[in-house]
Amino acid sequence: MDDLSALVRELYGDPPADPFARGRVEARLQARTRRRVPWKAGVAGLAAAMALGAAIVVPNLGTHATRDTFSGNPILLTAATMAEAAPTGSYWHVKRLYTMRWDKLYGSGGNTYRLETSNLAEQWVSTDGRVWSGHKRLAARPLDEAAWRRDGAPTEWKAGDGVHSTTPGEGRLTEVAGGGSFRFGGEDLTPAQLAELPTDPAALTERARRVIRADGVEEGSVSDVVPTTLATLLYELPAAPEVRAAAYRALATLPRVTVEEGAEDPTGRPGVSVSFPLQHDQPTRGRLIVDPGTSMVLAYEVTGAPGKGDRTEVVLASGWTDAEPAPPTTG
Amino acid sequence: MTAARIERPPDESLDDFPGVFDAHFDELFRYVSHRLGPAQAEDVVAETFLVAFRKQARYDPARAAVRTWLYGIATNLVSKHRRAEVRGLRARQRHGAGGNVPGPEERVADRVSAQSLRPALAAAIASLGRGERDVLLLMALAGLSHQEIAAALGISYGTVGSRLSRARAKLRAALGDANPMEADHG
Repeated sequence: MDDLSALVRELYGDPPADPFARGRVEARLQARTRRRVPWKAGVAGLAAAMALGAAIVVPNLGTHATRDTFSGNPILLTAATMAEAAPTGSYWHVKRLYTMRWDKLYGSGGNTYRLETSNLAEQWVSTDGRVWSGHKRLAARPLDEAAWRRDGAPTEWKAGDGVHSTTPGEGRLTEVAGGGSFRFGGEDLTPAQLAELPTDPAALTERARRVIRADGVEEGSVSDVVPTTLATLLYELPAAPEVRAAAYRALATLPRVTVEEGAEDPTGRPGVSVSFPLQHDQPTRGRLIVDPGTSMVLAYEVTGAPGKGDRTEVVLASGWTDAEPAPPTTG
Repeated sequence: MTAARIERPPDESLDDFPGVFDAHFDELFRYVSHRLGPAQAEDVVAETFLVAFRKQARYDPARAAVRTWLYGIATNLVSKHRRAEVRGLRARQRHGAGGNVPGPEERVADRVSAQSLRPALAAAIASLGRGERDVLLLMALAGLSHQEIAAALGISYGTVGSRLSRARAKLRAALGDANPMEADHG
C-alpha cells in the first residue's frame, strides 16, 4: 500500500467495536429472511447475539480466596455483592426485547408513517449443555397513528421477504442442535474456558483486554472496548456468579465509567445508569441500566450517535433459573 | 486474499446465506462504519445482505467473488447517504483525529506529522466526486485491487485507474505544502 492510502487509513482510524452490532444485524436479517433461509438457530436474535452451541456451565463455586476489600464505585460494588448472591439454577436464561424503527415510509399520499416492530428473543442454556432459543414477533405499531388511520388502518405491510403485522406471531421454542462456543471479545470460549474466567477483577480486566486484542483492536483502542466487553459477562454470557461479580468490580474501578442514580429503562423500570464512551473523542456512548439491588441488567442502549436515534436492547430477564424452557410469551 | 480468519473456498456460493453473513459481516461492517459511522452502518450492512439475498439469482461468480460483490452493494448503498458521510468527514476535519488510532511507540513521529494533515485530508475526501471517493476508499479502507473495484462497481478497469488518479491528485493538492509526503509509513 502506498503512502496516501496509509494516510487515509490513519485518518479513518478504527471504528468503535460494538459487540452487539453483529447480533442486531443478524436478528434483522433473520426476521426478514426466516421463511427462506436456514439460519443456524432458526430464531431471530439469539444465535447472533451469543453464538452459542452446546454448553456446560458449572458455576465455579468455592474457588475464591479470602477477598480483600474492593475499591471503586459503591453502587457497582453493591451490584457485585448481589451478583455473587444471585440465585443459581439449572438453566441460564436471557429474555430480550428488540425494538426497531424502520426508515421506510408506509402509506400513500399525505398519509405516510413509519413503523416500529419488536421481537421477543429468549435463550436457555442447561447445566448439562443443551441450548434452546425462543422467539416471538410482537405487533408492529405505526408511529403516526392518525396518518395510519387516514391511510385506511392497514394491519399488514410488506417488508422485504416477510411482512410486518399488527397481529403478534406465535411464540416458538427450538432446541439448538450441534456444538458451539461462547463469543467473548474476539475469542470463542469453550464452556470450560468460560467457567475458568478469573474471579479477580484486575485479572478479569486483563483477560478482557486479551480477548479484545484477539478481535484485532489496535492497542490504543483496547481500553475503549473494555466496558462493553465486561458488560457481555453481566447479562449475555452464562457466567458464574463470581465472574459476574468480578465484572461489576472491574467496571467500578474504570475511570471512564460514569454511574448515575435515578435512571429508568425504556419499560419504566428504575435502575442506575452505567455509561461509558464507546470511542474516545466521540459523543457515542454505551449505557447499561442496572438494578443494583439484584445485579440484573435491565437494558443496554447506545446513545448520542450523530444523526441517529438511540438504540435500545431491553433485557426482560437474565439469570440462572429452574424454570423449564418454554416458548416466549408477553407475560 | 491473505489468510483471513474465515477462509472461503473460491467457488463460494450464496446457497449458504448464513455462512456468507458469518464470513463477511465483520469486514463490511468495518468498511461501512468507517464511511458512515457505526449506527448508520447497522442499517446499511443489513440492507447490503438483504439486497444480496434478493438479487442472488443475478450474482455471477465468474465476474466477482462474493466478497467483491458485497462491497459493491454496500458502496452503492453508502452513496445514498452522501450527506451523512460528508458530515462525518467535516467532524473529522474539526476534531483532527478520526478517532482512536494511537499505535506502537515507534510510529509516534510519523503519527504527529500525519495528525497535522488530517483536517486537510478530511476536507479533500469530502469534496471528492462520489465515484472518486468510492474508488479511493475501496482501495484504501477495504484493500480491494483495481480489478476487484472494477467488478464491485461495474465499471471498467480503466475507469478505476482514472478515478483513482484524479482522487490522488486532488488529495495531494489539498495536502500541498502541509506535507512533503516523504514519510512512507505504509
